[in-house]
Amino acid sequence: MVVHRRRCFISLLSTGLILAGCRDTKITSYRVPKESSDATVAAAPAAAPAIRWQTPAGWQEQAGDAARQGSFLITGADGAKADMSVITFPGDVGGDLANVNRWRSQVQLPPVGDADLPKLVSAVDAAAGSFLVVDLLSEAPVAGGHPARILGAILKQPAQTWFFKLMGDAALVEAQKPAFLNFLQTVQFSAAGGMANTNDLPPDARGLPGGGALPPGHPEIGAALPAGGDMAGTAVVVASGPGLVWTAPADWKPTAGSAMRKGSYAVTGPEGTGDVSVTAFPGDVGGDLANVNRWRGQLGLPPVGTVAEAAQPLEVNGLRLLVFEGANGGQRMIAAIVSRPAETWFFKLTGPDALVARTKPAFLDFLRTVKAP
Amino acid sequence: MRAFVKILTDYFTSLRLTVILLALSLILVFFATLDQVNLGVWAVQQKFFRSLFVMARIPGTEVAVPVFPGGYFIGGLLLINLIAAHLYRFRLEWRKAGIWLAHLGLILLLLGELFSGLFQREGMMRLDPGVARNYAESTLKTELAIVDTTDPKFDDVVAIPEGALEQRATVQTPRLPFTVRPTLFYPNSALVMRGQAPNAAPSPADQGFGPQFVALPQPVTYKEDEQNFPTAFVELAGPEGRIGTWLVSTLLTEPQTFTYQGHTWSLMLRATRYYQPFSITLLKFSHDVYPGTDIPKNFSSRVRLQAEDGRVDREVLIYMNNPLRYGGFTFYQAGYQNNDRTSILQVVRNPSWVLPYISCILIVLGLLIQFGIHLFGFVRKRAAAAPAPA
Repeated sequence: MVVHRRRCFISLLSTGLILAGCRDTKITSYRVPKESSDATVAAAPAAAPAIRWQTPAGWQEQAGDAARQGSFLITGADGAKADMSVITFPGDVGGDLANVNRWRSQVQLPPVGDADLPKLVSAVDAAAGSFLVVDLLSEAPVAGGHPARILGAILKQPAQTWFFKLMGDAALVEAQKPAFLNFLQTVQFSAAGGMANTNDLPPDARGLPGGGALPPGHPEIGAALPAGGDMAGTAVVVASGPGLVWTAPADWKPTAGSAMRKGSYAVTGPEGTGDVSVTAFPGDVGGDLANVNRWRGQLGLPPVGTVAEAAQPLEVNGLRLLVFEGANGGQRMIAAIVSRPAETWFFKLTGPDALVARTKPAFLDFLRTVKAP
Repeated sequence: MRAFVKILTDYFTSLRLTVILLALSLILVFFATLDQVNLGVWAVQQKFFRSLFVMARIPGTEVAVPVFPGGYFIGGLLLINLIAAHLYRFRLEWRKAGIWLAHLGLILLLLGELFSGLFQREGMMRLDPGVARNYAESTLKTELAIVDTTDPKFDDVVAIPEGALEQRATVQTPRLPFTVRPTLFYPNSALVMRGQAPNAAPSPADQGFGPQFVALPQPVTYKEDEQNFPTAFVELAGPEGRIGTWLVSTLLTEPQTFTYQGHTWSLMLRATRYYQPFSITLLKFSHDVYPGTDIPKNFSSRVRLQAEDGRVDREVLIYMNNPLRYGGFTFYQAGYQNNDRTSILQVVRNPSWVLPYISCILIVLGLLIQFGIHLFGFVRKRAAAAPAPA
């Protein structure tokens, strides 16, 4: 009997140890039928707002995938085809120049520099915001011996960037340009977000009268909404990254950040909405001059030869900041570079000229709260 | 040897150990609740409860050291303590039947949590109208899919989980004509176009999209509204030598293809896929609002469920609080995309979901029996001791 008990005990111990040692490193292999639609998996942020639009006549809706929020096929009278995609990614995805150059490479055009970008893009204002539109035509035949054309639109939101791309036979894409621009006008975002949340529903529709229990194994229903209103006028520390902390003004609304952002806020006013981002990257990210000129490029301004021409130093809580300001074409940007021993932090406010100019004192006060903990 | 076993059994059967473990679990729950503010529910579960030890980094270094026993450690010892006490100290007799039942319930409760932690799977299923899907995608885990796409009808997939990439061990399997050596793995990262970071070090990748990008490591996020974007560099080598190094990242939405030994291969870091022996096709997604408002009233998906063996082929309506339960999986209506055309279902598989219910019934039964035995004994004794009427 003692031997039996001992065996039981030892088996129990070893089973526990084996189970505790389980790790998900097992390699699997299998054969699956090819999927009928492209099923590339992707990085669309789970919390991206839900997008809606009105589909133009003649555009055939296709099954989307994890990458595509929307997908359309347009077929011309002569059998020519064009593909329209709606995609979103967190952050600014490398900036406008990088994205335009990515599209240029798709129609076999050489990349352009910061200085040429303003000549290529035009702003289209719509209900959803200001779209940056480019029209790119290949110089040589690309697909099927025909020239290809890309009509692309970029819409920047505080936490993510949306890309609308119509690509295909050059003549067909050109003919569809009015429909494409009309389509942009119909784009709308629902504030509720793309993920259904039962907290959006009234209690009777949620089927939870009196706070009834969820069915067994039911995933947790979204977090309770914070009580609003009572925090107005109180400045609170709302974000901190490893390395630096700051205090944002109470009227700046924290927005969903992204993997790239340490802090993200929306500044609203009668002039429009501005975006405040806090990012950090390892190393010096090209140095002060390269970053200042990158920002000038984003505003459509020519590069400068020295940092002093466009930025002023500012000493804050023992940190050396370099504050840049620039404005062009109705847009203004105030940004600060904080060089740390092994990393560089960027604090950036962008938005309509009048809004950013009015918010400048608050932004500078915000910069004065930045400190190393 | 006998003396050692005795020390071991004395230790594991002691009531003092039970009290210490219960006290430790109280402290663990307290600090885990506080840390939920920083980490969110999922990360707290992993850090405090589904781990042997709670680990913390030494400030200023990347060295992690155990600072407190984790849930698996405390729960595991409690389980051993309880079973050992029954094996060595408790006697199997009718008078103790209630205690045995209640303790059996406790053991099942502890085992249920262990099995849930080990075997529960959660994923998302994106359904577009008319497209049949037979897999869910994890929202937390990723895998490197190396796919032989040569066959016009089938894809031969080798999936390497991110855990294996993180360990950077060379992967060699008879299913691949080359070895896969992860040289670098970032659990969260950002990709920047190389032109945007002119001073960045040269890319370790020399194939595919890799040379165009600079991968920047980012701190791992645990927030529920944020997502990690892992990136890895993998070097492939055949018998005749190195084939090349690729950058793979969940930030890249297109697979990278190459040809080797007459076969076409594609490489992609993607959300881990969980295949099921049945498929689901979305027939219609409905997003109802209250008339004249944008306030959601109901989300529902009418789907067609088809088993691979042809035994099941039926239509099901999934809506809020009315999930589909089939084949050990539960499908909840979780979201929508693509102008209300795409429906997103949350898929949960937990083979041990029934254990907590059984254990609760056993504990209640055990306590009722044990108190009942005592009550009847007391009443009987009292009746016997009562003086006879004069």
